[in-house]
Amino acid sequence: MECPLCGYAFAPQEAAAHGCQLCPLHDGCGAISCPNCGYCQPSTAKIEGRLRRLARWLRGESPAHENTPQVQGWTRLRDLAVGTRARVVAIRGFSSRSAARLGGFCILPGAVIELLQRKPAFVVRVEETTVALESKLAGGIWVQSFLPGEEALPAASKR
Amino acid sequence: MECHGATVAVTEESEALLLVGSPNVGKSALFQALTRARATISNYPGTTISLSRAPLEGGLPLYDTPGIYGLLPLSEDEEIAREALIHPGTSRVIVVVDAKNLRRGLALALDVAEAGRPLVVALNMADEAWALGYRIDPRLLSDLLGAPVVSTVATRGEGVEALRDALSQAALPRLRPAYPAPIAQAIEEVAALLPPALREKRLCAISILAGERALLEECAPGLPEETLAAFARIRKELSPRLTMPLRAALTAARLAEAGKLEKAAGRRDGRGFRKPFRERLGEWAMQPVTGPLILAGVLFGMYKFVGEFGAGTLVELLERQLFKEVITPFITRGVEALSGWAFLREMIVGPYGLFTMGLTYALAIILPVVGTFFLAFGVLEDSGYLPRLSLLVNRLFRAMGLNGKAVLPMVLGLGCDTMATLTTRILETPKERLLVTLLLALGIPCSAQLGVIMGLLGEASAASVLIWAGVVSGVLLLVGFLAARLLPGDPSDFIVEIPPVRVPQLSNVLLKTLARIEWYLKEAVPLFLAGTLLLFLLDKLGALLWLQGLAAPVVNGLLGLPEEAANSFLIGFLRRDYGAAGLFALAKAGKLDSAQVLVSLVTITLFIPCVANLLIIVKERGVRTALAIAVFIFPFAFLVGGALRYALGALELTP
Repeated sequence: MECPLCGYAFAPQEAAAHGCQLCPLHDGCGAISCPNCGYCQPSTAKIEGRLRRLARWLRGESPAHENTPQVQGWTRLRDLAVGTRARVVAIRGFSSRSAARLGGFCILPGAVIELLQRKPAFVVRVEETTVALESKLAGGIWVQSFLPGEEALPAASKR
Repeated sequence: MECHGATVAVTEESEALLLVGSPNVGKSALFQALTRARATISNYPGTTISLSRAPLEGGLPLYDTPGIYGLLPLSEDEEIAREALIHPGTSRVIVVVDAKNLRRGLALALDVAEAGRPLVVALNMADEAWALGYRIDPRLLSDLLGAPVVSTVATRGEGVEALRDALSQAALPRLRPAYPAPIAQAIEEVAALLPPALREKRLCAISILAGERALLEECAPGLPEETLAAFARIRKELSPRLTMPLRAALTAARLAEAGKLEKAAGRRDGRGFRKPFRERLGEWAMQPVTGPLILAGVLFGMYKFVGEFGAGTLVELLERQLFKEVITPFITRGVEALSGWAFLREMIVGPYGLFTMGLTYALAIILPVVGTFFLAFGVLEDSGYLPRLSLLVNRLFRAMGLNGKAVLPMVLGLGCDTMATLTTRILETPKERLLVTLLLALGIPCSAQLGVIMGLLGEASAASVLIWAGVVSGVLLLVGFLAARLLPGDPSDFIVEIPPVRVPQLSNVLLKTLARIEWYLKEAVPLFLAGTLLLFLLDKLGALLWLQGLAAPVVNGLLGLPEEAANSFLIGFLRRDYGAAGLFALAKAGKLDSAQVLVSLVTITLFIPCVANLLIIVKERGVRTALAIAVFIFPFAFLVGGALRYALGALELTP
């Protein structure tokens, strides 16, 4: 990017290392300070991303987790009906911290989960553990619904 | 120590035992049962954090730790537990497992085994598992695992004796999870480079592979540069060979191993019993319509118990009837008989007397409110309501850059902000901890203060209460909203375990309440006395009038309050509730009209936190943060108070 005041060209990381280091807000303000003259300009990356997402949403495309391959029969936990059981097939788009949290609750590929409620937050049951998570996360848990009759089979943990 | 299968003898060094386990598996109940509730709070050697400690029979100390999900910590309290685990004095470990979540618990036991300490597994809450139809054979499990397994019901003391006996047979499990080959190999490679005598070598290796620095510096400081470079190389070589993130792969391998154990030693007959009513109540507490209704009911109950019974009936009984009529006259007579020195007499029983002001406030006004609040909080805590509440308020807290988990410190703050500042450790990111610390210091009145405020507002009008609550929560939301945008860092995702609804155990609630009251008294009474002494001396030296004159532009000019109100703000520096109590006395004397009551209360609510809270902020977040918080809050409280005064004037509102 280029500073509109002095014309100095720099990478955003350079700004974070120089001007922003001295400021008590660090990088929390969303502005980028020119390492050469200190002039602050707003960062457009965030708003650009939002506008792009809005445009995609207006065009009717699915917003997040595009990197997830569409496999036949896979749905997001977010789209599951309350009271149904399904098998987790993939966990995508989570921070490693949150993925580790889910793993600690046995929510891993292969686990059978039951959706108990969706509002104001999602609540799922895995074996004897009940876990609440917000809807954003429910979009990253991919499940495969049971085929008719298959559900009657005992769950993985209760063989 | 790396040997497979051998029972490792416990060394003779000065040793301690440790209770570890996931949250909500009954560690503390087991702790109480094992030590017969002679629990005291003390510092664990080598850390600055308090763990519960009490002697077992036979004299060995037993430590209770915060709940963990694994040994790669995700929050500060998990770090505390791990630090305790790898402490050189920790010789044996009791892994507490929820018997109905056997697979999860055994996976954690396999994780804990990596720390190289002999262990015993307690299958706790065996009664609940039985009622759900689970049948587990502890003996078979013990043979398969290679470490003693005992089934217990801590709340009823069942199996506790057997657990105590099993401690002498504590062993390092010979069963080890089958990690994917590249990971297993990398662990061996890293472990080979660590000092051979290190007991927690494998755990340390795993944490190095996960990219953590803290544990390495803890157990093997000062390794040569080449070794560190070798670690980096092994990590780099491992990452392309992983099919899923390292932590997930480790957890999955442990769960798979634990699943095999569960399958071999446990079975399930029947689907358990009909869903009890309290489970349904628990479900309603989380749902969009019934949830807020239940919350309203809980709040109403709290108000009736703490506000009316504690702050009303009990205070009336203690202050008016016990102190004013019995104890104070008695002490006054005693002091007068013992000493003819007027100075000393006034210091103890004068208008700013250590007894008449300091102790009376602490014991007769504040104690009943704090006591009833902690009792109610203990019931809420043990019933399992708080995690359900966090789910309900998650959206609202999101606006403040937090998530629902922050509701726990915020609600506890209504009891004591200092204690609540300590519980911010349960939050996952530094940003969240800082935000909650700030909001607690700014606008969450502790129960003592709340009691006094409610007493004052109760005599005013419903409109006053609404305006006060509206202004304070508006300020909290606004400051939270802005601070969330300005402070660096990210909030964490909202993932919370919802425990089953349980009927709180009276003994446990009472014990917890007593421990909290003890903490509160230890913290509050010295400050009350110091504050009173300061006021008394200032009054004697004639400095009080001078200070009042100094504060007049703010207190009188900006807030429009009588100059005596400066006293309240002065002692408010020591404790906000004490300051509020001063305002209470002023209002009682008829020196404040209703608008002035409102303005002064809003100001004192937002006023800087008490000395104890400030000290804890220094300890937890550092001097700079504490100073920044104080420098922000001090003028801000007066500004909001002033703004409210002029707003009330302009709108010609007389609440």
